[in-house]
Amino acid sequence: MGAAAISADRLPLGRVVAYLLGVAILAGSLTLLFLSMRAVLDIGGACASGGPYVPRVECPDAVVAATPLSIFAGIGGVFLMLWGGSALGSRWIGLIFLVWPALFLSLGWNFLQYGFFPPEGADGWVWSWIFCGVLFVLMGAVPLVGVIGMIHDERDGSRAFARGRVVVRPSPSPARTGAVAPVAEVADPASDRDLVDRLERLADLRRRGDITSEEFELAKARLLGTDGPAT
Amino acid sequence: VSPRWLAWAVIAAAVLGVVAAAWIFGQIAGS
Repeated sequence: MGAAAISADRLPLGRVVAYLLGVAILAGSLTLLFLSMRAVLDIGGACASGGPYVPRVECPDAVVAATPLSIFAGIGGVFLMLWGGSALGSRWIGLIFLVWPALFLSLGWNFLQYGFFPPEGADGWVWSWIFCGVLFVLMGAVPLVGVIGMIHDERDGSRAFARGRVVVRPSPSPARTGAVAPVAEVADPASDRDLVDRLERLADLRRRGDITSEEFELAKARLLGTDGPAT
Repeated sequence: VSPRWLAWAVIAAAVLGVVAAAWIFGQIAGS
């Protein structure tokens, strides 16, 4: 996590606790689902329980209990992370995205492991499980690799920005100069970083609804030393 | 409290969740 989007003195402890609880519940739910799936694969990959019919393979008790628990608890965990994260900044909410690759990669791993090394009774590789495994791994890995690439690009961009290699300065009022495009120039990195931090904090305040868009524009104009927003 | 501190807390919470879930599953499966 890069620039401090959160001010230490205003960090709402309740939201932090809710967020961390959501992380723990979500990680636990994924683990329960992972272990339940392995228990089902151990007995041949399919089972049933309840209902008016007599199933050929009865589900183990742990699977019957853990599967619905993991789904409902997982949804609860996501909501806790959303609620807690909304006070911490968009980066922390963004972490919820990791649930998708974690889910598909872990279940895909199960399919591949049991496909290549099937439990007793199966003859050779189980191609249907291997197919599912490859599909799941692709579904988990492709978005993950894409997002990691995006984060790298963004980080490279902000590093260049912070080091003063690229600084975009707002041009003076277009009315006075006729210029519209921002002017790129080399500037003092420390003061620019400070300016960027202040702008980020302002944007966070607006996002949280602590200030209105109008107040945000006014404060931004004051920070940048430009004329206020055109009214 | 800094975001770095929070990042470590998130990792700790995730590990705790995994360990707790594995223990719970083991308890149900074992009984």
